[in-house]
Amino acid sequence: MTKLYNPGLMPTSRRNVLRGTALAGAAAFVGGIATPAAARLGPHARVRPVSPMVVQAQADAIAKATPMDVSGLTRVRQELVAPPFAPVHEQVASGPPKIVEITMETEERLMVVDEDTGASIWALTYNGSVPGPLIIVHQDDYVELTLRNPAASQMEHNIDFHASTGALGGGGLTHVFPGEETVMRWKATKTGVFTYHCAPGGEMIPYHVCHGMNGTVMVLPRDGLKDGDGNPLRYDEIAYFGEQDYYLPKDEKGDYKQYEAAGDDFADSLDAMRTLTPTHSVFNGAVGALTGENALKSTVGKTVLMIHNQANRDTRPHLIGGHGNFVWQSGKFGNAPEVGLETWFVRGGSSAAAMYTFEQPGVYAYVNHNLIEAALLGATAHFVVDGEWDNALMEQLVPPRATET
Amino acid sequence: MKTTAPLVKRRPIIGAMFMGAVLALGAALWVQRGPDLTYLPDLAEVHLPQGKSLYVQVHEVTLADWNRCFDAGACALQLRPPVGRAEQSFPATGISWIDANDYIAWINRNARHRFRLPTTAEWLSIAAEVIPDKPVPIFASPNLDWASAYLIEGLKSRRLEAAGSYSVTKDGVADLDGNVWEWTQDCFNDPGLPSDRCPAFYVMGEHEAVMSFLVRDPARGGCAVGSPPAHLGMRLVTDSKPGA
Repeated sequence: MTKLYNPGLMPTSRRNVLRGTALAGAAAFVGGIATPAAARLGPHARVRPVSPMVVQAQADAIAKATPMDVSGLTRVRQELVAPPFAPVHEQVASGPPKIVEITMETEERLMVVDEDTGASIWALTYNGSVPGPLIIVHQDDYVELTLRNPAASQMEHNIDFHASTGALGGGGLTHVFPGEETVMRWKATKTGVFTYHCAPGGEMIPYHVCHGMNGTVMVLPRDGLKDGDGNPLRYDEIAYFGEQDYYLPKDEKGDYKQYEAAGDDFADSLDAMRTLTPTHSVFNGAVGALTGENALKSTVGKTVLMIHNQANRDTRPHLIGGHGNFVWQSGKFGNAPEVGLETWFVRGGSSAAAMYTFEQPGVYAYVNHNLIEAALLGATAHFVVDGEWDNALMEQLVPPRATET
Repeated sequence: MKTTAPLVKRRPIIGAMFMGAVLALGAALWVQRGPDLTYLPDLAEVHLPQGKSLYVQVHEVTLADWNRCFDAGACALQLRPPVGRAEQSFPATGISWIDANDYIAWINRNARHRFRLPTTAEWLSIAAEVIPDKPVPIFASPNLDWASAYLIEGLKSRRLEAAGSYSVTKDGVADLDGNVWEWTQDCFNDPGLPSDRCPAFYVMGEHEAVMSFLVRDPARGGCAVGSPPAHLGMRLVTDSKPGA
């Protein structure tokens, strides 16, 4: 993957235009605390025309709320890691609920989507990766997020956690402009794997989500995962797949267009997105990002929890040559997992989890089983699994030979 | 292309439509029938193990070469350089076995010489010094033969590079170790099959691969878990030195 960082360090007229767009978009989507945010913005900001009554009501409600005393809670810091990997975590929580501190920095970066064609995108990311990092906590823990937007950015960002409650999933409290940071704490009341994504307002919402700004937070039951009979389920490893639909603008000849800075593709992207027809649908941000040298590795007998996020669009994962032994299609651990599935359905705007124990060595393809998307748009990952072949499960009796004529 | 057009009008029925002088000129060219130098690619002489010489195109067929065939109406595809590049010196890629043979038919007609695709054995001889050893299979068990060609290391970038970006053999043949796999004339598993009945041919590059004759873009993934080639292109060879 090419790593070219956003060179736009200085405010430009283009950036000012974009800011205006972002604000207009944010205004269309009622939310946020408009007055203080606007006051911080300086001369090129437009004040969001949000109803003063709505703004006042929210500000009043927040001001009146009882301050939460968290002084008795233990604080732990979770170091987030890039996908497809998971941060260090416990499957069964030790001790009472904690405050889990995480930091995410938004990063706008030029990423190659498909080396074969040179198709690229100014991706909008959390911590530089598509998808954003996997966050893991337990039910009743508090997630305390520091969201930072570097001064070099072109755009405003925020975050909406589907696992959280209130203020548009936190989106209304976390708008950060370039050079700003914010801290928000939310309680993980519901168990499951949940999507999070950027939602700055209006048409900026799908623009940011379709440029990579989404990921999964997993809220485990304090006593860990269970099957439908209440028996504990444990995994040896996690494979975290973010499936990203990209809508890359093309020129009149049909070649993918290139842009100098994040946001330059805004108008073209909206036109491409309106077709609802992705040009790419990929795991881990790029075609082939989890194949070949980057294929996932495992061993016969190991149990893998496959977490699949799709923040925008329906998908249907399938493990070619294997199964989903325990599958939470809707991604919520309060429901008994389905067993023995061939393909499972992930609703756009959600995460799902599927557990499988490898029984045969070899190569497995993990695909979106719309095979057009798997083979032509890029939605394929590979597992390379070591171990001993089991002829009881499968045996080649006659290798291909000429038929008798 | 337009400047050389009169040279290719060699069918008597067309020639008859011209004035006598033109007809005489056409007849003279018809008789001479030397190779048309404007169509001949740069060739390098390679000595094969059997003591025979093969004349091998120095670079893979380029976009510039290919689009002449398209402009002449003899090749179906018009090819363009990668996104953001303008050079016509990139190898022509995204071509199927059928496309490759359309090109060969066109160039042979115009160059008035017989070019063809190499065999796998010829290709391996040409490329021996620049091709890495066959990788150790990732699975040793015979039960896992189907998966053992999967590559998890040593893979080249798939980004297309201009002609001349990779190694040159001592014979002067370039880019055999690049990320363009080259069609051969060898049918997979059944050398005796007529080429118009062959479902898949060998393509040669850093590792050997087999490709359906219809495929232009060896898409990654799905059930095909080997390590598919990045790009499909072609290189001409000929058994005799043109004009010799």
